Amino acid sequence: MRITSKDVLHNFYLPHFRVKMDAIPGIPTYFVFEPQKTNEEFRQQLRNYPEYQVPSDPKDPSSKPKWEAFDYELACAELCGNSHFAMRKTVRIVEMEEYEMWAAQQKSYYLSNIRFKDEDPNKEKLFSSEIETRKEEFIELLDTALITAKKTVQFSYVTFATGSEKLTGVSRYELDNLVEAMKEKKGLRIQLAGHTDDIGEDALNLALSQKRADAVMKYLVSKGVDASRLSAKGFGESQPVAANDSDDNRAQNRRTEFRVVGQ
Amino acid sequence: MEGSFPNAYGRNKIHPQAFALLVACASIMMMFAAWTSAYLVRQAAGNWLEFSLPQVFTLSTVIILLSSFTLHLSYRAFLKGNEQVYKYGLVATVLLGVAFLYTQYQGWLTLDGIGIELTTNPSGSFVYVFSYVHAAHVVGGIAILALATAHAFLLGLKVTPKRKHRFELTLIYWHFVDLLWVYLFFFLMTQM
Amino acid sequence: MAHVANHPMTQEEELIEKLGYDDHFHEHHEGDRYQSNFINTYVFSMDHKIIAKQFLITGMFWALIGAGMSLIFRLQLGFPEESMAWLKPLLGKWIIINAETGMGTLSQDFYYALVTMHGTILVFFVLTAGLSGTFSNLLIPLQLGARDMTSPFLNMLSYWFFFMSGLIMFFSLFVSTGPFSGGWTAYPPLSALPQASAGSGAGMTLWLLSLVFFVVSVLLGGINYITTVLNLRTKGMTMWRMPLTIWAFFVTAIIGLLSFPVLVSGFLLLMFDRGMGTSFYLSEIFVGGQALDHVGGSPVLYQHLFWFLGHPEVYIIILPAMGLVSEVLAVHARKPIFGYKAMVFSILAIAFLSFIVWAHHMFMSGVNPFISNFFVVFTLIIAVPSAVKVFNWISTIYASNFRFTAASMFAIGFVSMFISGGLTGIFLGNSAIDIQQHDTYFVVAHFHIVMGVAAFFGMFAGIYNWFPKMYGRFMNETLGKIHFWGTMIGAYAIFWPMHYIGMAGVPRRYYRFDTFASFSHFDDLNKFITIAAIATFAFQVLFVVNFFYSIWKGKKMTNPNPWGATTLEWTTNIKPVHGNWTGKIPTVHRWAYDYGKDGKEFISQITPLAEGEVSSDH
Repeated sequence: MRITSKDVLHNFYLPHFRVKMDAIPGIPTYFVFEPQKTNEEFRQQLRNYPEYQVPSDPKDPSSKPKWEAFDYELACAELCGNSHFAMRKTVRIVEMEEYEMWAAQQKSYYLSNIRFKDEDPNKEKLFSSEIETRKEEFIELLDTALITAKKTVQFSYVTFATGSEKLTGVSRYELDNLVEAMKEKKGLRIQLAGHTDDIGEDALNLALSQKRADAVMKYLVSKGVDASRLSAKGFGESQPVAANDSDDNRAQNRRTEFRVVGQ
Repeated sequence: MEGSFPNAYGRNKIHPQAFALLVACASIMMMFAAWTSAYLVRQAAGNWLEFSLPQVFTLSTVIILLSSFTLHLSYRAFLKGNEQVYKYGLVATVLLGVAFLYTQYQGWLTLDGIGIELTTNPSGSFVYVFSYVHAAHVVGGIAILALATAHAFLLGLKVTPKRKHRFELTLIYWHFVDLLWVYLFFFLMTQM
Repeated sequence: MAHVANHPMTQEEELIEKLGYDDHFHEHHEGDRYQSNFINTYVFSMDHKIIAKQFLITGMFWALIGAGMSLIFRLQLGFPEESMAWLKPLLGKWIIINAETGMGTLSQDFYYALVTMHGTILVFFVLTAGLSGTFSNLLIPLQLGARDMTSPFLNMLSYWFFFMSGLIMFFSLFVSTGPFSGGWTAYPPLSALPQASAGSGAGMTLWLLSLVFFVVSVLLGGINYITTVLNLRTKGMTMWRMPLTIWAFFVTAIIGLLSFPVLVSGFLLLMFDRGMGTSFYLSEIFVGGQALDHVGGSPVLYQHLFWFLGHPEVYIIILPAMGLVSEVLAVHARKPIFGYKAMVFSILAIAFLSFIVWAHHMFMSGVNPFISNFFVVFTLIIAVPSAVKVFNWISTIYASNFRFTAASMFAIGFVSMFISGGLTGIFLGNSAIDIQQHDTYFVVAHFHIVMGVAAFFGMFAGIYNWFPKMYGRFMNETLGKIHFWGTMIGAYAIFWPMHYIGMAGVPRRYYRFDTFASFSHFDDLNKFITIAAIATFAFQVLFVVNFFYSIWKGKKMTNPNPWGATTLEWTTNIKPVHGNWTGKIPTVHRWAYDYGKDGKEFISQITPLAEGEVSSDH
């Protein structure tokens, strides 16, 4: 159990388990304990006592009997302000399998809420596990493209600073995947293509998409891919994949892709 | 002082009020001891900005040591009846005390200049708190010294038990703030 | 003193031996120019006896306020569903009236403010200033044979700093956001962030200011006590002849001087955090979803600084009570105190140990469990000197011709409370058991019995015993005995049940318990405790009435030594003058506990050894 606090001192208190540990802002604390009975097991145990047969809500005779309404409780045991007495949460103790199933579905707070947002200190780089999964993703994309007619792969993670041809920091990971693929498959030749949405003048968009395609090509060359195997072309807003009628659709149209022109 | 009762049997080597002052010094010392311990504890916990103490604090240390020396000379002269040394020793001590405060002020400016403000990091905040509170004690000491100087010039040199006793108390207190700074200075030096 | 006989006495020494020491007091103080008018005599007095009375009466005032506060929050805890609308005239906006039902409830903010103030007032104003301030001032010069304290002026300042401190705290009760409400320990961040709760703004500022004044008062007093004990003992009063009261006050003052400055340093850092934006105690904190500027502080640092005072503080409270009880028990048992030297050494041992156990208040603060072990060991070792004292008190009254007076009964009551409260301390001192007991009513019961009620019992024993010395009259014995039984039974009725609630895990400082299924089934016990508290309070009112009635109407004292005590304070006139002895200061020839020696009921300390008598000095 790792405990921390975002405002004042609290105390993490589970009365049924005799667990107590201060929650201190800035200093994570911990407490190790092993519960022996799940909520369900404990309820069944309470069922044997007459005083737990009464309705859980004295005003409502039809409410669940007390044993069935039982929950393990979490309280605060360190004065933390005028609502100190009301910091109640319930705790559910479950079997290990149920817990593992639940845990497998959980995403960490960081990955689901912070990752790649402005406040993420690591937004310019990828962690090794992310590099692995994206590489697999890319290889799969490429392999599927090679057996379809269009032979086109759209980059999922190649992005540019708004209105410019400057590649963002995270773009290089996917391009590196491509570099690796090109070094493996010696005969592969591709055409890089830049696309934009319909906002702004046509000519400017066309120029920008060309510059972006060139920027990608430049990066690939700098990583040791022979320039003769590459070409770059900007299409501006001429080939939308969706109607330019909403922000989401426009985002789909702003894309960089490559087409395999020879294997 | 008025209202104090005479020292009972002459068997005490030290005047009760001088003893009381020493006890008071001990309790002030406890306050700083608590801070220096807090400093060590906090430092061990990490997130600690390292910087080096301004050079001018070394000058402060020399100045305050010198002021203790001049005050002691003045005291010896007072006992021996050397009026000039007595008077100007006191004047020198007051001036050195003020100079000490000035160098402390320079030290704070230097710290501010290298980006260590009061609120930057506890490591800097501690240095400020140490020197602020010590400076407050020095201000009190200078006030007492100024009084002693005024006495010296207005009343001239006349050794009476009462005046000797007063001078002793002044001497004890000034030596104490001196030693206190030396302690703080060397404490900070070893930690930086 | 053996060496006196070894060398021929000078003429002067011989005279002192015969007539007592002459410090020419009367030459300087004929007509006593210090007490020329009412203000000098009773208000800005430098006479230690008047200052003692000032401390005592101010302490009683605060005790009534503090205890009254506890009744109000006990009513909330015992009878949460009853209307408190009748308190509206007294508490004003702190009673919230429900417009539909007319039901008045105590506001949560004010509940926490009351709890906080109750603790602060009782710990600092009543049991530190009221107890140690009263009896150290009264007894140190009188029992040592001194005219007054080393510096009567500082002594006067000490009282007036305390008075100012009280005044500021009193003001804080009336600010619109209410007094501080974060607990008497004032842990940051609740105390460091003015926006953290209602009382953390102006209330906390006044609280801090008040306590800084208070510490100055304690330090000024302590400097005087120590210096007086070491320097102004009369001739023949060696350290080993001092009564245990003096030993206790002396050691208390030393503890205070070493620990209170640490509290000030903690407070000063807190003030910097509050006012100047530093981050000593504040770390990444979010208020209303907004992160504050503070980075990298540690709230635990404050806890270390606070408890470095906080733990010695409980001995600052209990040691004077122990000293008073030792003296009262010996006088009324008509027997020498058992194990005088053991008593002194146990006081010293307790004082020493009190400085190395502070972290036992912080077992649950995330400190390393291995460090906790160290503190557990030293905490449990305190049981040894404490047990020595208890053993010696019981041995002193064992097989004695005990004289049951209100004073001596309270002294016995103290021993009982100290044992009950001390035993639960052994539970709490163990870091593993403390996981369950920490911040529950078990802790509340423990410290109320061992340092609250016990210290009060010591104080009552002292007041009943030395009231004749203070006012030249006796307090009413019958009322005193009723007061004793009411308090004894009442105090156990309040705090005994709290142990059970605490063992069941009910946390302290809860405004109501019905939010939790785990804590909500002790309603009857809570009602019982509240009723017991009200009844016990009524007995204290009886005491206050008795006290003030007796000042003017009590039985007059005719015998200057009514209890047949050996100590010096009973050798003065019935109403001692400023300067205590009208003539010469008496010379001391023996220790303070010559009771029942050589067939005599008691031999005063000023009586020279008889021919062939063996000194009982240690």
